[in-house]
Formats: sequence, C-alpha cells, structure tokens
Amino acid sequence: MRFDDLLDDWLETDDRELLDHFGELITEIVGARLAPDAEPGFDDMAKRLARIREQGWLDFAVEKDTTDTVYFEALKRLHRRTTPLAVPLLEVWSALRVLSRLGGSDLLERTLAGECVTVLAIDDLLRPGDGSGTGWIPFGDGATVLLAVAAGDGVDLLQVEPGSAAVPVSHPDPTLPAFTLSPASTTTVGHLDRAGWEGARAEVLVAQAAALAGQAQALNTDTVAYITNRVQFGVPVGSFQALQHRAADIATEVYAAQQVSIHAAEALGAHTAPLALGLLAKAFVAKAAMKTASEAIQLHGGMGFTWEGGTHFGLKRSAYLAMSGLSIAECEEGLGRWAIDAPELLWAGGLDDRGKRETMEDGTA
Amino acid sequence: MRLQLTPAQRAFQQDLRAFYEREVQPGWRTRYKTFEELGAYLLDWEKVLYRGNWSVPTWPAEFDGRGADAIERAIFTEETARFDAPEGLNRLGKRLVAPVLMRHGTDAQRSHLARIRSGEEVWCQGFSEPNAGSDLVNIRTAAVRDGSDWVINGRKIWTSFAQFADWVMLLVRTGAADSRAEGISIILVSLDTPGIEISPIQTIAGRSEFNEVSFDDVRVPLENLVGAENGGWPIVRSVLQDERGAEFCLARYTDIRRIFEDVTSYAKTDADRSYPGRIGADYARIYTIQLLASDLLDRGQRDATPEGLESMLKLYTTETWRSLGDDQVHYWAHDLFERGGKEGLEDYYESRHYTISAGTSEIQRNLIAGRLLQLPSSRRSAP
Ligand SMILES: Cc1cc2nc3c(=O)[nH]c(=O)nc-3n(C[C@H](O)[C@H](O)[C@H](O)COP(=O)(O)OP(=O)(O)OC[C@H]3O[C@@H](n4cnc5c(N)ncnc54)[C@H](O)[C@@H]3O)c2cc1C
Repeated sequence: MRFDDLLDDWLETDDRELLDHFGELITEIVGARLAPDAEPGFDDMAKRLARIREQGWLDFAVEKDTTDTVYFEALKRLHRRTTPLAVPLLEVWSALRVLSRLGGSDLLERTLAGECVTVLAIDDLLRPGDGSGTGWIPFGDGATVLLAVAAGDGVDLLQVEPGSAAVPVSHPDPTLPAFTLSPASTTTVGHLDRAGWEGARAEVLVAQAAALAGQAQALNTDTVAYITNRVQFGVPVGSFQALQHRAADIATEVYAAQQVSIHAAEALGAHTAPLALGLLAKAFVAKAAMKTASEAIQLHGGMGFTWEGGTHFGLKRSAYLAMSGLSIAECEEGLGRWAIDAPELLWAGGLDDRGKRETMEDGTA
Repeated sequence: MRLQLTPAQRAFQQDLRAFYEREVQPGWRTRYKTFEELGAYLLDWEKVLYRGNWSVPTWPAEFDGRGADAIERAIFTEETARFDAPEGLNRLGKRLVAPVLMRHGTDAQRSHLARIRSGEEVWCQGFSEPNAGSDLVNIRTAAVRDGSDWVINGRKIWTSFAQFADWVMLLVRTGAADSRAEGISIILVSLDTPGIEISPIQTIAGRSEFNEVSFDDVRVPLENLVGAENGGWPIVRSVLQDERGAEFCLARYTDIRRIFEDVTSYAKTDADRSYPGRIGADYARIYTIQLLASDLLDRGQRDATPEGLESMLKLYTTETWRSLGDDQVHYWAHDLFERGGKEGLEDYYESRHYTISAGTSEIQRNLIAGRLLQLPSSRRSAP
C-alpha cells in the first residue's frame, strides 16, 4: 500500500467516490497556474464559483445529509493540490454554515441562489472587533462580507455590501487577493449566543485544520516524488539518508495531522468542549503543515525557490491558513489555558465519559 | 474510527474499572526505595492481574485471554492511564514471547503460556549483543548441536528484567559465522541452567533495569528450538514489528499522560511559570498518540496495515516523550528540579529510554523511508 492510499482508505466507498468526483471537478476549475504579475479578479473568481454552485457543491455545505466527516474531508480535497484553488470556498462555505446556525436568513438564500458571493471574515469571527473588517478578507472588494462583532457573551453577525471601502492588503497567497474594510453602513443579520459562537469558531478552526492537512499531504507527495527522481552525484537525492530522515519526519507529521483532522471532524458535533478541540486541531495541523511546507521548499533545492517550480503556492496557502483567524501560537496558548483551567483533561479515546457523550449501539445514552 | 461502545465493550470497561478501583494502591510508584523492591511489588501485581482475569486481555480466547478487540484495547489503555495502574513486570513474556509461541511454538512450548498468564513465569528478551544492536543480524552468540542438546556460548547485553526473569527467549547463531539473517535461530532457555551469569548494568537513572547475560557452555534440550533451525529471523522481524506496535505505544502513552497531567497540575499552582503556550503544544502532541494507535489497531482488524506504519507510531510516540522531557527542563524546571522529588527526575531520565530501545528513532526513520515512502535505497542507510 502506498503512503497516499493510507491517507484515504478509511473512507466509506460512497463517500470516497463522491469526494473523488469533487476533487476532479475542482481540478478542472482551477485553471492555469498564476503568473507572478497576474492579479486574480473578483469576476473570474465568481464565474468559477458559479460552476461549483451549478454542480451542487454550494448547497453541499449546509445540506442535512452532509455529515461533518464528509464536509471537512471535502475541504481537505479542495486543498490537496499543488496549485491552490483561486476561489475562497473555505470562507464561502463557512459563511453558509454560520448563517445556517441562525435558522435561515435572506442572505443564506441569496447566496445559495447565486445572487451574491458571501465570504466569512474569519479574523473577526475569532477575534471580534468593532465592526470594521480587520483581517484578510479574500475578494473583499466584490464579495458580500459576513462580519462578527462582540455582543453580550456572543456576537452579532453583520452583513457588509460589496465594495464597502475595501482596501487591498498584502497577503501571503497570491491566488486569494485580500482586503480590509471600513464599512460606512452594515445590516444586522442575527445574533449567536455564547454556545453558538463557540460552535462557529470551533468549526472554522477545524475547517482550517482540514484544509491544512490536505495542503500538507500534497506537498509531501510532491516532495517524495521530487527527491525520488532528482539525480545528483549519480544517484537519486532521495537515496541520501539525511534526506530520507527528513522525508520520514514530515511524512509522520502529515500522517498525524491527517489523523487529528479526521478525529476533530468526527468528534466535533458531540464534544463537550468544542473550542478546545478546534484549537487543538488547528494548533497541531498548522504546525505540521508549516514544517512540511518549509521542508518541501528546502528539499526541492533551487527549484523550490522559483515561481515556476510551484512549490511556493502550497507554502503560501499553508501560511495563509495558519495565520488567518488565530495564529499557531494563539491556538497553543488558548488550548494551554483551557487545559490549565479544566478540572480534568480530555483525551482522544472517546471511551472516557469525561471526553465525549457516548451512546450505546441501540441509541440509549 | 467511530467509537460507540457495544454492550460487550461497555461491560469490559466496567469490569476493568471495578477491578482497578479495588486493586490499585495509590502511591505505589513512590513507596519503594530500590528497584529490587519495586520489582518484587510488580511481580506480585502480575498475580493480582491474574486473579482478576486481567493479565492477558489481548490474548485470544483459545489461550484463555479475553480476545480484546481494537476498542477494548483502547479502553484498557484509557483506564490504565486513568487509574495509574502498574504495567507489571512480564510485559515481554505476555506481549513478545507469547505471540511467538502461539504462532510458532510446539505444544510443549505452548505449555509456557499458562504460566506466563498466571505470573508464575517471567520472561526476558535476549536479542542484543555488544556488537549487534541496530545491526541485530550481526549476533554471534552461538548454539551448536551436541547429542540431544544445544550448547550455547556468548554474551547478551541490555537484557531488561533478566534478574527477575525465569526464562529468556534467546536469539542465537546456528549457521556459519557470516550467515547474517540466514543463520539465526530462536531458543528458549531457562535462566537457572548452569553456565549462565547475569550481571546488572546501571542505567542512566542509577538503577539496574537491564543486564549483561553471559552463556558459558550452557546446555539446552534440542526441543527448545522455536520454529525451524536457521529460520528465526522472519519470526523475529514480526516480533520487532509488534514491539513497535499499538500495544507498546499505548503503554508508553499512559506514562506520558501521567507525566503531562503532573505538569498541568503544577501549572495551576504557579501562573507566572506555567507557559500555557507550551502546555497547549505538548497537550496536542500527546493527545495525538492515541489517535495514531487507534488507527493502527483499527487497521490491524481490517488487515490494512502497510509495512512500516508501526515505525511511524513508534517514532511519533517516543519522540513525543523525549520532547516532553526536554520541555520539562526548558519550561517547567522549577517543578521538575526544585519542587519535584526523585520520581520526577526518574521520569525525565526515562524519557530517553524508548527512542533507543526496541529499534532507535534513526532505524524507524530508515524503515519509514524505505517501506512506506519507497524512497530509493542506499547502502549507507541499511536496513
Ligand atoms: C532501556 C533499554 C532496554 C533494552 N532492553 C533490551 C532487552 O530487553 N533485550 C534486548 O535484546 N535489547 C534491549 N535493548 C537494546 C536495544 O534494542 C538496543 O540498544 C538498540 O537496538 C540500539 O542498539 P545499540 O545500543 O547497539 O546502538 P547502536 O546500534 O550502536 O547505535 C548507535 C547510534 O547509531 C545509530 N545508528 C545505528 N545504525 C544506524 C543506521 N543504519 N542508520 C542510521 N543510524 C544508525 C543509532 O540510531 C544510534 O543513534 C534495550 C535498550 C535500552 C536502552
């Protein structure tokens, strides 16, 4: 069994086929690799998103029969590629899922109908400000933006119309141009109470972890193939033990990151401390993904430092996902504070009744 | 793996909890002054486990085990960690020797199983030699046929628990001196046979966990050979893989969890020196050991374990412990060295143990690169 098969073979056949199909569709939509001076525009992006919507993959995020496992796995597939997708689907899906927590809204319906493109301002959900969109908001010039502001012990969700004083900001991922906003006016869409806000934050962290796990896997596969084929000193460089050990270390991190992201997806719905789980998932996976990306560049030699070689796309997408919302250090610190305050630590077994609500096979608690 | 307990798994869990609640003596770790006293207590604990029918939960029912499935094995670890219950002293007998006898032993050899289960017979593993560590196929301890006996001469090293053990599973050369893997056999040797000398070696922690064991014309009946003559290496390879597998790593995970829980209790009392970011980072890494072990157990049941995956689990688990040890020095030194007792320091030394024993981290990386990633081989990175 090849290492890559190992990372997929746990899925049910139906789910795997569905996700394979999704992966192929996205590959078809990604299009040509971006040139250094190209600036992806909102209109092209919206066209790609329209194709995704036509194939039923916008509703997918909020459909009743989409399980968490498949939802997060789709995010992994989306990012399991060396040329990242120039569509902020993670932010769009997340906006839909946050909106669906409100029990239906006009904005949700309009987005699903393709009348507008709604993206979630991830930084503001995780660290609510005063109503100006502060973080990196991908395609924030043309999109409708869903913003969170602190209200009581939860957040109010605000809708910002396209182009509300959007200012381009530098951003690691060239395929997702980002903006900050200083909107003159906003419309309130609804309110998330403390539990709803916690759930929404946890879900976004687990989504980022899934995306990072996919990105790391793609970089690992690409790197193993590269060092297998690149010849120096008359032998493939991948036969040097120094490189083999580094490859073994990153493959181990990629495998572990994959397990963490699967576990977080499965456990999130019934978890007693979802935010801690989200922090754990992102802290772990983002660190593994950044290590993988950094090593991937190094093991590609000079080719790793070129635009044309393309490894940098994975590095930049990883950096964007790792930095947006909460940094790795913030996740670690938040998790550590939680662990210090918790009366007892939770562990992954799921066998331990402190960790997870258990049900018997017959459904009784 | 979705973990929903069946009624049988639930009963397994409840039985085990009741047993541990009744039998585990809090404070057992710090009660004994010498390693010998601790060893004696752990030998007794083997008998307690046996009386409760908990000595070999993972053995199949045909050998009077409980035939624990993947989830029950995970339950076993979870509860062992929660109660901080001892592992006992016969883990090599139960987890290393027994599977070999089950798969390859004669009926007479299998009669050891009942005594291993009851704690009457403790076993040790005589593989490594002064010149055969990572390069295990270089062993020189030789067994030569003489009438109805093997005559054994040579020297084993790092033999854990030999001073408490009754028997040793010995790796010997039965082929020509240069026969490497093709000339290795497995022989069962009773440690009270004349000609055997056991000399303790002090560990980093100043205790004598392992030993040098020398063999001087030691005579052992021919029928103590396990499997075919010169056919020992394939058996050993599978044993080595088990030694890196989920059971062993889950046992280490219980140690690591206990140490980390001590670190967090300390952090509650000293906010200025708690370093929550580091606590979070270590927590995530330790938490993940169980995910990897569960995946391996689950794959074992589905017959979907690629060669080399055990090495990932072993590397991940043991390096996680080693870096937790390093972090105790870097961040929570006050707890470890000023406030903590001897036990904390011993745990710290112990954090260096498992990245060396049962195949070093470097050997695991070689195996991952070769078997899982299928990178091109190089003579320099054998095996
Ligand atoms: C606490 C403890 C308990 C033990 N208990 C037992 C026991 O009960 N029974 C038993 O038989 N053995 C036991 N051992 C022995 C153990 O299996 C060996 O120590 C281990 O296999 C390493 O062999 P070595 O000590 O000879 O180190 P060496 O093989 O000499 O290694 C020295 C260094 O070289 C590196 N190295 C070696 N070969 C390679 C290579 N091909 N590529 C890259 N790096 C390499 C190693 O990783 C290590 O860093 C125990 C060891 C310890 C520490």
